[in-house]
Amino acid sequence: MRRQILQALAVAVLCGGAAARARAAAPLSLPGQPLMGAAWYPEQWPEQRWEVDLSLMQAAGLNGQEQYHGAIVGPDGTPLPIDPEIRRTADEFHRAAPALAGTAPRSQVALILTCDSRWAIDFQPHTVRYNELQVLLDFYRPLLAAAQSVDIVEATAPLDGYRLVIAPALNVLPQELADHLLAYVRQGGHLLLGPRSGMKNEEDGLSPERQPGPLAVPSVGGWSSSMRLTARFRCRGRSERAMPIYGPSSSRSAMLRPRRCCTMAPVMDGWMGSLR
Amino acid sequence: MIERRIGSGTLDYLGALLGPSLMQKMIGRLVQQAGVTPVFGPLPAGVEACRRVGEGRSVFVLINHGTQDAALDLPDRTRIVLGDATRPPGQRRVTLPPQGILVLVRLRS
Repeated sequence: MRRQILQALAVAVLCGGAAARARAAAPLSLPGQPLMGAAWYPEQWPEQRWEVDLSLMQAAGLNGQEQYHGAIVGPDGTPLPIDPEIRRTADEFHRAAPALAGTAPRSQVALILTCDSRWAIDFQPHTVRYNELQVLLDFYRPLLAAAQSVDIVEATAPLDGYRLVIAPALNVLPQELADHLLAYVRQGGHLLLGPRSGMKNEEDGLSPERQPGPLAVPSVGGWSSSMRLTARFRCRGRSERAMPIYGPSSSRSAMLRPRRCCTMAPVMDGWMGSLR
Repeated sequence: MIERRIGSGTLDYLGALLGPSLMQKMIGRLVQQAGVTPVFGPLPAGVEACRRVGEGRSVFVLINHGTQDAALDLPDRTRIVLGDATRPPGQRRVTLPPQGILVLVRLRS
């Protein structure tokens, strides 16, 4: 609850000037609108959301749509139990404001997403057991434990400041986005693409290259020197003990060498294909 | 999982959904390779840290989401701006009660 209040107040403080003016102007007879975090769909948001929200800070709407929701003052005109908590939060914000002014969160790690990839997998999850949010959280939790701060950003965002970038399921990977990611890697970044990444183009069509699609081609010097299999894992549902499959020192590593000259690129073959 | 060096960076492809323990190992390895360090330092379970960076200083906001007191050591050169814990003189260790918060400022030299 305290966190919700913090968020609501943070926005209220940011919009302070306009909101204060609006509060003076907004009549209490407006249909009841939620104070914080209670508008489930954007369609429910009034155009000037904070103006209406702040008007309801005064009292519950007696004839409103949300008669119990989010008010600080009850229908009898006396403060509700939430009132002292909000006062304390506002006081803390006031005291911490000089320290917080001009600062912004900065993480060393980012998870990157795109709506296109989300929708593409939504259309074809392949199994009801594939839960996109769960896949994201499976990466997020251990990452947060290790780094203590993780940004979740649009894949097209500037990535230079991150030491590690993870794309849990970047299913749709157009050339332009591939170029952006490649630029990040070339300048020293570390990028992990999760399963189902780099399979589709911007039209939701399957890429004729295997994964990771447009990121599979740009090698100078071919596959052999630059590609190696390093981690040896078995899939979910089997034993999780690390188990060697192939490695640079094994005789099977010859399989990793290019089967054709890289000048013939674009090859119709991605990383996974090269491993057969 | 396949790893490839490109330019001065690294590109990995993970071809499987991993269970929790294997995911943790894999992430641990990646974090180490990429030189990622925790933004605050060692933290007791249930305590969340957020780092904000501004000119000449870092600000840490700590929240104890747990149901028990949490003991933690403050980094060097930090000052408590606000919070539910006080630092005994000359000590680094503070105790944060359940649902307690701390706002710390660390000046950068």
